[in-house]
Amino acid sequence: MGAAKNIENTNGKENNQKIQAEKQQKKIKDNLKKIIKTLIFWGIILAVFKYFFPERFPDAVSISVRYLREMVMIFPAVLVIMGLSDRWVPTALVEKYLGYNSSFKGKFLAVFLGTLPTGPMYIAFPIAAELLRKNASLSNVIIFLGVWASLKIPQLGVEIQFIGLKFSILRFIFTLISIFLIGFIMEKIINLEKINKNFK
Amino acid sequence: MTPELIKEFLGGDFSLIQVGAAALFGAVMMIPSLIALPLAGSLIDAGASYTPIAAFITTLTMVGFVTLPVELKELGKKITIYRNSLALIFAVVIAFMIGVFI
Repeated sequence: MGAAKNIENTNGKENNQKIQAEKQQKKIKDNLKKIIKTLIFWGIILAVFKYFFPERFPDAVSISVRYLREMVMIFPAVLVIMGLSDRWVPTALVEKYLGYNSSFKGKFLAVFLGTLPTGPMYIAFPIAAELLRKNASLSNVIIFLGVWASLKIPQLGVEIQFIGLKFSILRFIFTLISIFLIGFIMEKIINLEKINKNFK
Repeated sequence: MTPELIKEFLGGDFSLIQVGAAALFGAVMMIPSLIALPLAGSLIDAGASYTPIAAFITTLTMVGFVTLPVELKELGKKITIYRNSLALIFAVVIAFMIGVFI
C-alpha cells in the first residue's frame, strides 16, 4: 500500500512540475508576444513619423536613442537596489516612519526623501510601489512622488537662476500645499485595501 | 521641439484657454527640466506672463504622459489616474495663485 502511495505521490509531483514548466513556457511565450507587439507598435510610429516629418526624423531618433540608453543604463541598477531594499528594509520600519500613524513626521520625511535625489520619474515609481507594499500610507507616497517630480533641490537652483527667486519661492510653497492636498484627497477617495492585492 | 512652437503656445496675452493649453502641453511633453527651465526663463524675458509658464513647469514635472505606462505598471490604474488628473487640476490652481501673488 505504502509503495503504491509513494508512486502516486511521485506521479503527482511530476505532474505538478510538468504543469509548472508548462506555465513557465506559456509565460515566456506571452512575454515574447508582448515584446513583439511593442516592437511592431514602435515600428509603426517610426514609419508614420518619418512619413510626416522627414526632415526632423534623425533628431527624433537620436533623442529617442538617448532616452533609451539612459533607461537601459539606470533601470537595472534601480532594480538591484529595489531588490536589496526589499530584503534589508523591514516592513515595520517603513510602517513606523511612513505609515498611517506617522502623522506629521511621516509627511516631513516623505518631503525630505523626495527632495534629495535627482533621478527621473520612472525611478520614483518602483520606489513608491515598494513603499506601498511595505505599508507606507498612500498620502505619504503621493507626497513623495510629487515632491520628487517637481521640487527637487537641484532643479530649484536652476529655476532660481533662470526664472527668479520670487517665482521659485511662490511655486515651491503652492506646489507643496497642493501636493499635500492631493495626497489627502487621494487617501480619502482610494481604498488601499482593495488595491493592495496587486502589491502583495 | 522648436522654440518657436513653444513660444506660440505660451507667449502672448493672458487667458484661461492659454493657461489650460500650457498645462496640457506640459503634461504631454517630456523635456528635462535643465532644458525647460532656461527656456521658460527666456520666454518670460521675451514678455510671456508668469501664469502659463507656472502651469507649464508644474505639469511638465508632475504629470507624465510619457511615463504613464511605467506608473500604470508599478502603481496600478486607480492611483495613476487620480494622481495625474489631480496634479493637472492643481497645476492650473497653482498657476493662477502665482499669477495673483507675483
